[in-house]
Amino acid sequence: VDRDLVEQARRGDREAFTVLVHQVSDALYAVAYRILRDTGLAEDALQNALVLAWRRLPHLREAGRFEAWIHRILVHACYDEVQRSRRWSANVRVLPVNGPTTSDETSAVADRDELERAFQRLPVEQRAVFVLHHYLGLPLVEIAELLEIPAGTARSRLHYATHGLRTALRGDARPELEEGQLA
Amino acid sequence: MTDERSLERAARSWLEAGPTEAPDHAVDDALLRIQTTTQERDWHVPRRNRPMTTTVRLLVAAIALAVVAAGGVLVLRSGGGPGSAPSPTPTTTPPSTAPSTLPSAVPSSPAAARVDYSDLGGRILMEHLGNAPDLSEAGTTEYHPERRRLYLMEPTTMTGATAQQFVPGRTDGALSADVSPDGTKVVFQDATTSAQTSNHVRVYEAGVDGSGFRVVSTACSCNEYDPAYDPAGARIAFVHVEGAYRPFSFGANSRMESLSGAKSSWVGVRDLATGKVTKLDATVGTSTNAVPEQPSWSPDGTKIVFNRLTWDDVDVPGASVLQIVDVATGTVTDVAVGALRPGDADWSPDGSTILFTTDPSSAVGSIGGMAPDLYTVKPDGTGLRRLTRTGASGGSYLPDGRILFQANTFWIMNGDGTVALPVNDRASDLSDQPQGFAYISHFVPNP
Repeated sequence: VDRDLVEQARRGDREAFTVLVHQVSDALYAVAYRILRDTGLAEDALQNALVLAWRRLPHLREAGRFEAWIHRILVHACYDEVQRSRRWSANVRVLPVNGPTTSDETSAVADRDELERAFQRLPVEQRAVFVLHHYLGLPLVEIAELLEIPAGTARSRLHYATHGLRTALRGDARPELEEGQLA
Repeated sequence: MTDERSLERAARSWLEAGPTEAPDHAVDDALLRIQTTTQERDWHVPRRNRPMTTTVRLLVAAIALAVVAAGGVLVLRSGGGPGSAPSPTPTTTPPSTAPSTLPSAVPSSPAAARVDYSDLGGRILMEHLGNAPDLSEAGTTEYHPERRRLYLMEPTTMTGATAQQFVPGRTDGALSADVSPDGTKVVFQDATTSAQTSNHVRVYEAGVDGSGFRVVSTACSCNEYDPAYDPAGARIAFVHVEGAYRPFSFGANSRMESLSGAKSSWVGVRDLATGKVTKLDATVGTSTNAVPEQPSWSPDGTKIVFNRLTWDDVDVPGASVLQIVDVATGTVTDVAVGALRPGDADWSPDGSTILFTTDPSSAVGSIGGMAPDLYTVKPDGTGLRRLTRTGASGGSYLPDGRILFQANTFWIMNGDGTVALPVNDRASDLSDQPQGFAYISHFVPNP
């Protein structure tokens, strides 16, 4: 990201910010989608993050921190999307999907389905750290700095996310073992 | 896949999959909002070089008080602001205490807005799922997704307690309703009562007062559903699916599914007086996939818009396309709406736009688990416009061009998506487990 563009946008130049938006939108959307696992919510989070970033840009002290700064805004926009209660969503229950068959082709699909379900059960704060670490490849120290949380908190969120996924996958896998009489 | 490394490998691979490009419409929407958003000012605490004397302090305090007082007067004189300006067409204008933004999925405060819709000139027919809205079934431990009923509500008095069931006892599986243009009749499909006895879904019709209850569909090894009156109220468009109905459900959703392999599905037009059916051949798809859904007529009665929904391999609603069929020629054209999943389309009274819901779970009787919002598009596929941002579905046009929609309770907004206000904030929550879920609204004009 061009620092001069950030400086111009900080001073209220909408054209400069438009260029910045086109430079960062894809990356932000990809992260939002992976945290929220829903295209509609990810679009909303992206839009809200971009608008909020524009509003708050004059407060950004270092132009070189723009990308980390806007990622922090994005993650918080994702939190907001999850917290925005949709009580009507209570009327859907995901029915158990039939367990994976024995073929290799379908077991990979089943693994992804298991991950999808397990991931969506995690608290969004844990999902965010998991995505920043495993998708963006950020070290925990950088994640802590980006999210303005203690390093220990980032570490524990990643730990609990991983633990939660593993536990959930074991739980999902158990009926399959019983049905296959392997246990 | 449960040891640490294989889990991380699988997770990374899984995370890599998925979209990596922001949709153009999302970015464009954000840039549009930014054009009208002002930046916050970066306030710095001024450094005081010299201590002020008592006299200077008093002078500064007096000036500050004068500035505050003058500002207060200006604010009080400004009144209702631009939102209260007169408009040449019927619009929803916000009361002074009402929020002027689009609704949150959870309306902020029941007392936030009092809107008088006593001049609306009609009632609301509510498609409802689950326990009765009057809480009479709230003691049951389940929310009973098999209960699908229609209720009539007066805008000025509507609450869950005052909602009146349409044809009690005979519509316990009713959904996908439509109201005749003159407000005297209702058509709907029955997905449980008839299906349990015949394995086929049928279309029914009755007067709004419950009189003349009759089955419209003729006997066949097929299903007929999603009926929609034409502008004259003389014909209905509907969806025909061959084969037997399988009571499949994805959560509370239900869908039509052939029990005996892929067969034909299509949009048809039935003359209500003679029963004669015209099959629109160009709309034919297979019954297990690409099923046409939720037709809606153009106001001149020459075209029908519908969506064609496909389902993924775990029976979750997948891709959807919006299509228009010319009734006379049978020509089908696509209405481009990008990567959105359109459903529940409704044609505006002046014919200029088509309203639709994204994530068309409302198309299958539920909006849960999705993130639906309302959009409009011109029939030629241009002018795609997002109307809501915080969740809405079940949108339909009022005769004056405003839009009635659902977000836990019912709201009305202008046709361009501005000024969304609750129809009646006393019915502030019609969507919760004890009293079931309101999910589709239809306007019933007074005869």
